[in-house]
Amino acid sequence: MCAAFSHIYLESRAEDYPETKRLLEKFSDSTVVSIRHYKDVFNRPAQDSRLQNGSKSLILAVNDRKKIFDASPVCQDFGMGKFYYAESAMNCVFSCDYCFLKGMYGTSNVVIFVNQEDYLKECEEKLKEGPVYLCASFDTDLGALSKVSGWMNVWEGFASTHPDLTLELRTKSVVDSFRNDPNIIYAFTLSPDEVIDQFEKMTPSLDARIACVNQAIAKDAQVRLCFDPLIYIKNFELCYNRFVDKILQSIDLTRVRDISIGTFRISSDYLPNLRKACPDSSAVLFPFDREDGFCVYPADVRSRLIGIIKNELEKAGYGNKLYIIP
Amino acid sequence: MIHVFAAIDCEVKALRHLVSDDLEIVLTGIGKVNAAFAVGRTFHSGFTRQDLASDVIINIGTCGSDDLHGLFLVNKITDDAAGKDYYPDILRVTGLPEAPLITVDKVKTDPEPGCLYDMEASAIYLAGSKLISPDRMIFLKMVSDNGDVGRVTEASVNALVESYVPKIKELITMIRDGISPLSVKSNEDLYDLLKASASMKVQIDELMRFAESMGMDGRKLFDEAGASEVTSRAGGKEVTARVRSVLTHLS
Repeated sequence: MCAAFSHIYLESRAEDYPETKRLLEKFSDSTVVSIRHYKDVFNRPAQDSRLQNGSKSLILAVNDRKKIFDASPVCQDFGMGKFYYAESAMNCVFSCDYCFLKGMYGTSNVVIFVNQEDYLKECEEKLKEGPVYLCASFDTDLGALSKVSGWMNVWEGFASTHPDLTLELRTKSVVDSFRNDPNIIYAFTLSPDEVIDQFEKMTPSLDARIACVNQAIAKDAQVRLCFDPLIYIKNFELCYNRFVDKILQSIDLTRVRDISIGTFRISSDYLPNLRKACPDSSAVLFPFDREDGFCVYPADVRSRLIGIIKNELEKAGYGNKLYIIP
Repeated sequence: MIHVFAAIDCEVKALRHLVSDDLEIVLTGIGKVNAAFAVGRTFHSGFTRQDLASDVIINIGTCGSDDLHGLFLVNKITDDAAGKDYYPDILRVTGLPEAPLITVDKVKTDPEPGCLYDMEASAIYLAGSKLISPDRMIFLKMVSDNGDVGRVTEASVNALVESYVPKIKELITMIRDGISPLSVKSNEDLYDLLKASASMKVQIDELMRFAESMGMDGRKLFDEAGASEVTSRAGGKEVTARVRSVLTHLS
């Protein structure tokens, strides 16, 4: 999928970057509006993100502040030490009802930072302190954006020459090329079709994602499967049981590096915005428990949801590959 | 409600046929102070964003430009004096050409190419943005002069604005079609039955909305949980907890 953007908002200082020139050429039909700072557009108060979803704009900007951040404690660190995420872009061309980006940003417009070299320099500084585990597809889906931006290739190329960097590229998209470097992990979020149809709008089907996983495995790439977030839906036991059976039948899990499992959780601060953005979605209207500043499913629901996937994978002999966020 | 703001009397006269039950035309007067005052007077302090969730501001007026001609949809407004930029969200395909606009305090006699110039838009945007989202603020400007305002007359402005009324009507129809206010259902009767406190009301609303999103009749769930037999607030809490338990165990 290649998103079309009705408008491109362009920071004056971003004009001369090669990524900017490439993107402007690619989207030559878009109306270009010159801006001083991306926040003037991205952070406008009271934007209607629901309406913007049907007509997303792209913002091209230079990030002159911190680019690589410590990861959130609710993110799975897979036992790795220094766990960071890079803010290469902000927001996503997909539109998942439950996505924390909807809660965090209050807009559907997408920012791509074009000063890629500055990010690599900052990453090199981190690497001087020791091995780094970097999630490069955190505030966006870089796989989905790879049809638009060159960011995914940039990070892959950098990781290829920096073995102390373990790079995770998480996506719901169908990526079409993979590297088999041991330190580049392609992490695929997989969900039942019932969840994809209801809540993961504009994303590929489960079959398409499975085909993509198998393509990555065939290329000897490092593959991670993410059953996260598990979403509470009607008949979730039946639905997730069928789902995990399908995964076991369709993917050779012996060739998968690891598997993460987690239920939906979100900062309490983000939930009001999320509910405003998706006012009819049961994924965000669930009567959540509040724990330590996060909205979570009740403990018994979490345990049942995780249990469905965990028990089946353990029975099939893959218990040693599981990372679970309880 | 659609609120059309226009600066001068002859613009308002040319637009008078647009007035209807859901559309008013407000004469602002010339300049930013007058424009901000007119917006403030229209959306007085009693209104909240929620009250105005389906209201739309349209600023229609003439403007100057060195080299542009015709009717434009404004995609960027610069307040010349403050050095601030504002961006109305352009989310509809209108077929109109777009252009940036600079709001100035005095008539610009030497306009730069590629820009429109007016004297009100930045104030309308800024005042409007306190209550209206950027996709519901629309700025339509038609070029009447190139800074030489001596050649502009009431008759020429009237004729210019009238010539674009059919196009403006099309746009207003498009805007009306796109207005879909969020319906908020009241659960007052349940609050009464369950003798609900403020925090219980929040829980009841949450459960009712979640039930609806799951395709279930929330009111029926409360009835089945014994809502009509509640005699105390503690009993109301128990019923609410029962409904929550049902809704969170639908496997």
